[in-house]
Amino acid sequence: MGGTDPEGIRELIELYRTQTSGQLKELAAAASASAAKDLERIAHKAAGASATCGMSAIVPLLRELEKQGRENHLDQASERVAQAEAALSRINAYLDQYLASLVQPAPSACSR
Amino acid sequence: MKKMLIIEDDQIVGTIYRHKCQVEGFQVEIAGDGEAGWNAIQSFHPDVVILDLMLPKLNGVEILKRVRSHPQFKDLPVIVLSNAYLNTLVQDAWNAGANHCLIKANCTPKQLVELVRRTLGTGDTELRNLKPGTTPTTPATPAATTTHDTHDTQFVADLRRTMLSHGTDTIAQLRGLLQTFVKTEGDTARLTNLFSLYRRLHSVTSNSAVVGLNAISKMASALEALVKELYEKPKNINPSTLRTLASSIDFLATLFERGTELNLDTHTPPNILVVDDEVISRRAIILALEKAQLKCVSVDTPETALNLLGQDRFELIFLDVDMPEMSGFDLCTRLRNLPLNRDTPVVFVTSLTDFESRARSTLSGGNDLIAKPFLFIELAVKALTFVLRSRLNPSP
Repeated sequence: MGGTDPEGIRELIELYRTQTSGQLKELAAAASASAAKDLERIAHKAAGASATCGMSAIVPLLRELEKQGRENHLDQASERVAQAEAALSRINAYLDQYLASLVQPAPSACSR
Repeated sequence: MKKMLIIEDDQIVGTIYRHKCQVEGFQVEIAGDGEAGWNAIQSFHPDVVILDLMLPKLNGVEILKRVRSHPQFKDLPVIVLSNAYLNTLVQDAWNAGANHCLIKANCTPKQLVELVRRTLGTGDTELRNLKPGTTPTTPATPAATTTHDTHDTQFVADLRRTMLSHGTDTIAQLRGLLQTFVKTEGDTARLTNLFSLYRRLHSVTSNSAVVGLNAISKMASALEALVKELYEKPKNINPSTLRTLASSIDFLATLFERGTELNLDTHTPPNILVVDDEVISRRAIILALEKAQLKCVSVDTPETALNLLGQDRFELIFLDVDMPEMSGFDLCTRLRNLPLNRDTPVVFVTSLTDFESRARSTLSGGNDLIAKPFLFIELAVKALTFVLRSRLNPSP
């Protein structure tokens, strides 16, 4: 997504990792407590962030959790959260490699 | 007389720089590609090199690496010309040992000469009087003006007229290259055609900058960066990026048509509003706008947005579609009733890019949409297009 802006992409990735792992914990708690509204709200935000960052593997799971919360059908919510956690683990492994490949920031257009 | 080597594949740009630099007392040679440039460094022994980064045969960064690893040239001053949107390329140039990096779209020949003088530590008078082999001993002095500047102004004005008179052809070439690229089948051939489009845009950026067509050069340089990004990462070629390319080339056509009557403000920061309930999405849009030196106000609820929209006029609005309290479509419908923003361009940022969503976007009063995940540079190009267009046709 960031393309030619390694600093920006690094910032977004760190923000994404921190935020999404926290949201998955909250989703697990909401699923356990059968808190449908919380499940819908948190899944909605997590799905939006994942879509923005191009993490397409996790988006359908989060959208489904959002739908389950909206419709108050939470039978499979815990299972979906577990699947989302597994997806995030794979995403994190990929992002570790990606971050290592990013070049270090340097001055833009000016003089040394 | 100080010797300057200009390594630049665009003949018009090279000619303009040479003209200016010769008038200012330099002995100038031009090399039209990277290999010729490296050979000229070894045979011409310049005191300073002006280096375009995007060159055929051997790119600018590779030349810099060769220069810095060669004992005879390791201290040779090299001034690099680049594109404001290509941070990675500029970064590579710094790492390879550039002394200065100038943004082509903002750099006039006069500014280039002044930088060369500062780099060499030579004032205007000294430069014209220096004999070969003489080392300047005094610091730089302010540039002399009068006759040279008058001559330059006339020269540049002639070139500007020539460039504008060929505007229709230029746009036809850009559209033709884009259409050829879109229609081509096979990855390799497709990318070859995309690269041709990139080269043509690179040329438009350079030419318009040196003749002072600032809006054209700003728009072309952003487009150039988007095409380069797509060339390097073709998986990002999708209906959204193609639409952005096509509409921005259309806007370039408008800029060419308006020509010299155009006195477009490309510097005043625009008032842009971003509405998204999700923090990462907001941050991504802000970072993308910063690529085009655009600032914005960002809010996380439609209600807050409506309050702001009732009080302030904005030049551009980015809206998330899927927000809990009110959808972006509904927000757009409502803001069209607000006197200050009934004509403000609205761009939806959404992962919903199906036909129905596009139809709802239009029906609600939206002007465009961009697909998530988006490239920073794509959003920057879109923003720049809308902001400059609104300044071209200001609302009453």
